[in-house]
Amino acid sequence: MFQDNKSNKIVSKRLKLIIILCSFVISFVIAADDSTRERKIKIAGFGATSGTLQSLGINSRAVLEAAVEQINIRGITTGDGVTADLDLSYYDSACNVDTATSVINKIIETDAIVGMGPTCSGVAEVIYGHFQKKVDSLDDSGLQFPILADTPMKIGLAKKSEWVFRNVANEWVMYDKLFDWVQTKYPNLKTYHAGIEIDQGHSKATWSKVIKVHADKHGYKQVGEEHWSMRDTSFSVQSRKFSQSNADIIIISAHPPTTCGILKELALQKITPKILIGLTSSASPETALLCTDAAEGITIPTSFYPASPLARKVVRQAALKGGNVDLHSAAAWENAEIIKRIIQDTGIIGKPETLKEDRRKMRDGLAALKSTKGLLGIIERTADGEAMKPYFIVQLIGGEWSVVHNPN
Amino acid sequence: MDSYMLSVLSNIGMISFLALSAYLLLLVGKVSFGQQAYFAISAYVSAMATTLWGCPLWLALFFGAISAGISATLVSIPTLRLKGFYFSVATLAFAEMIRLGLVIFKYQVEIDGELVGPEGSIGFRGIRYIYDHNFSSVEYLCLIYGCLLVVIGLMIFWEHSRIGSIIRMTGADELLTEMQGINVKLVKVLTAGFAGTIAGLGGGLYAHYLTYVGPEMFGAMLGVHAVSYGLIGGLGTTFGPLLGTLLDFVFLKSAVFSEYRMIIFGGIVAVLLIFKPRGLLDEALLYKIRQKLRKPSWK
Amino acid sequence: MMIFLQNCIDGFMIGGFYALFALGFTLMFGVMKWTNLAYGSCIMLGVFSGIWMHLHFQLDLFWIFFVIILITVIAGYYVERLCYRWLPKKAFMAMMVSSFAIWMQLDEIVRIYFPSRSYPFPRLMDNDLMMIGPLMFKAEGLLILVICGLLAGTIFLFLYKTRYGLAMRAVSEDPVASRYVGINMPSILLGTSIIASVIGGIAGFLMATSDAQVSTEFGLWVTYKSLIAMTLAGLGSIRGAVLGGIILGVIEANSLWYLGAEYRDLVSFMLFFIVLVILPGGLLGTAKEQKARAAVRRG
Repeated sequence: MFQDNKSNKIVSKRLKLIIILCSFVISFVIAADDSTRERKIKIAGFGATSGTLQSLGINSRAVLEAAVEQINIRGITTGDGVTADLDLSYYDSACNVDTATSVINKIIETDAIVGMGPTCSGVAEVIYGHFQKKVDSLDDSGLQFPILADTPMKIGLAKKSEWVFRNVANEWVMYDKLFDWVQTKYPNLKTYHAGIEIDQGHSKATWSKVIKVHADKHGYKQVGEEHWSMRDTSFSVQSRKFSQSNADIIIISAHPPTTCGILKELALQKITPKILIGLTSSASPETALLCTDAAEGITIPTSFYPASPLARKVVRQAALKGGNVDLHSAAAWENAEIIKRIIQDTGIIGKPETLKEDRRKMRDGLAALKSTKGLLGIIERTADGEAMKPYFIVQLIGGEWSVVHNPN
Repeated sequence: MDSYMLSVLSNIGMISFLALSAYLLLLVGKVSFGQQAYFAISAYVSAMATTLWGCPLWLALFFGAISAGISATLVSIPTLRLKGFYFSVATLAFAEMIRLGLVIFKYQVEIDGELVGPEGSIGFRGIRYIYDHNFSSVEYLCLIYGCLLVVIGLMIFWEHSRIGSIIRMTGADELLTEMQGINVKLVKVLTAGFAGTIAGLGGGLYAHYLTYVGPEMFGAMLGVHAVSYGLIGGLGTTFGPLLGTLLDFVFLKSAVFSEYRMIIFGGIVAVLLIFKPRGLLDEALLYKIRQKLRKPSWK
Repeated sequence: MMIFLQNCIDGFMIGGFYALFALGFTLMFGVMKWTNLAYGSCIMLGVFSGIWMHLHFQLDLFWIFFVIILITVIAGYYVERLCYRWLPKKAFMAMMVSSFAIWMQLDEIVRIYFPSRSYPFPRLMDNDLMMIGPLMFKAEGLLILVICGLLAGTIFLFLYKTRYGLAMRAVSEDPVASRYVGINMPSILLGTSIIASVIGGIAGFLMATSDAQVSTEFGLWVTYKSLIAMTLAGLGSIRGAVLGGIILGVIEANSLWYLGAEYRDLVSFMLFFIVLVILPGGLLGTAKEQKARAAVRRG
């Protein structure tokens, strides 16, 4: 009997210990799995999820959703000590200025503390022009709402307003460094011949304001400039001009469809420059798929490559949400992390009553950022709201993009 | 009123100008796929007026509308003698010529150390008149609708006057109208010129609302939508194209339909045209309404 | 001189495509008196169905070709019913705008299933370059020209040597009289639509294999080129359509070389406009043809 009592006591003690341990574990699991936190900080994404350029919006949205899901596992600590969830709503701006203007106004009416978009550069031009140019200027009735964009690449968009910030690759720096690299790797090149998609804002602007400037600065001589339209499918005339000039470098400032078109024609006419340079937006799976052989060896500076474990994880998670990760949508992940960091650093509360202050804190937080942690390294931020992202130089080799220069 | 509704209403207002412009030409029996050309011309002219030459907004809008009107009149002289399909395609060709011209057009002036002005396909940014002069969204909306109401008022006035009858007669049967002693050619040219001016007024307001214009905004889609608003809403009254514009924005630009918008819009237009080839508020319906409203003097 | 000749050769290569597209378009315009602006979209729907088959089932090129033709014909039938057959006979404006509405609808359907801008397409044969003297020819280009010639020749023979073709020509000249003579109008109209769709499908397939890629802007592109090609050498004739396509190709290639891409499109549309307005018989029409066409055009 005494024996039984003692063993009973031991058993009940053990049982209690087990129960206590279990409840600890369970409560951790419940707390961690608590995707329905009471406090929700609303953020809004917007981009083209319909229309010809819908892949950009679809990818951005997928990456944002994946990022927000990750963040909501741990939650965010708000300014008043509450652990909150990020609540993302994504709107379709259809790459159409009228739709997008309505969308941005709709977003401002909600409790969203920040907007992330759009994806089309033309739409960004219109939308950002509506924002207050300088913060606190009393005679400027522009919109007051912070924007952090991941995709629109056209030069000079963030400086349109002090409320607008971008986390896109800095083409100015990238092409400068690209030509530096070309000079060291291919030392005896002298001439270049360019082909440009002239009726698209990004390809035209990047050519005339970035690529050409740097090519000339590095001492290369231009021997020709060919033009075509976004919708063109025949490039035999332009190719013959390339063939005539026999330039060392051929630069193609165009998006994947016409890039592939001209490259196939160049391959047909057996035109092989010493080096082929492309537009940042063409360093994508689309190019690899569309003209695997013809684009062999094309060299492009980019700001995304699945080089780090984190980058590869993002690719996997975005795929689960139905999107691809490229230099555009990768920034969406980084932006979600930036938003989280600013909320915690500036004490954003996320209640409807504090909306105006929260938005101002977000803007000031974005303006004050000196550097952020990106998927592939540290990103420096500039005074006019742009980013200096780590870059790679990639080449299409055997149908796959490979890094040929990694300065990080 | 929240800013979302304001922006939707502003858009409806500005596109209504384009719809009314296409409608006027529909009344004289011509389908014009090219009214966006005048929208574009005025957008650029008035934007340059305020941004590069420092004109006040009212003057800029005036310049824009006038330049659009003059272009429309000049274009109409050779094209208006063309029949149906040929005319429509000619207007489309002209609109594309203007768009392609804008891809080439570059005119920049240095202001405050920065180059400002249209830059071909890169576009024309910095049209910040309404923000620099502290226009609120509500005030600009009032401007848009003020101008629109003046135009609508004018058109309704003409609708009920001899001018309206002449225009509709021309649209119905040119030969008969000529036989009445009316100079059909003059009627058509003047109608086209006025239609261009209306489109121009809308274009100027549009450029200043958006703060940025680029050639990609003035493609064929814009013009064809404008014509279809008139054909859906009805050709019986000035309110027809306005109804069409409203329907498109309210039902189809809402988030619910956004991905399938073109499919639904296209389907609706095609089906509607089978049953009502002249739109919802067509002449037949308007006639019935007027009959009902007219109290018979004998009883 | 050599450059000019080479440009012309390049122009011939792309002109072959334009000619084929214009051929189908002209058949519908000439026989059915119908401006089918959804023609390009039907072809695009067909080609993308082929791509879908290729992506999902890795089919042989022959089966892809078959699917393309089939879907283009079905789409053509859908458009013909909705935008032509079920509309009142005199509603020409409605027919044109209705077909534009369906153009938008079909384009959107393609974009929903194909979100990316362009897709690869298998090649028919390895594209080889042949040098004859200093001039460069593409093997595929020559093949396409041959096919274009054969198709045009077949259509010509069909129209002029068969009873059905005779009936088609009768309908195009005088629909009312044709009915009196006992021609089965619905059958002729349906037949024309199907033949035009088949030609379009063949042209679309050839274009896709030649470029090895197709973009979602293909429909719009086809419609524009067909319209211009058809007009440049005189509307409504088979010979006109083929010649018009070749002429357009040659003009484009030369303006591209000597003036640049921006001006090339501008030149095409300017010529288009001028021909519509001043030379209704097309660039190659004789004075008599010009007068006859002018009468038709000016209504």
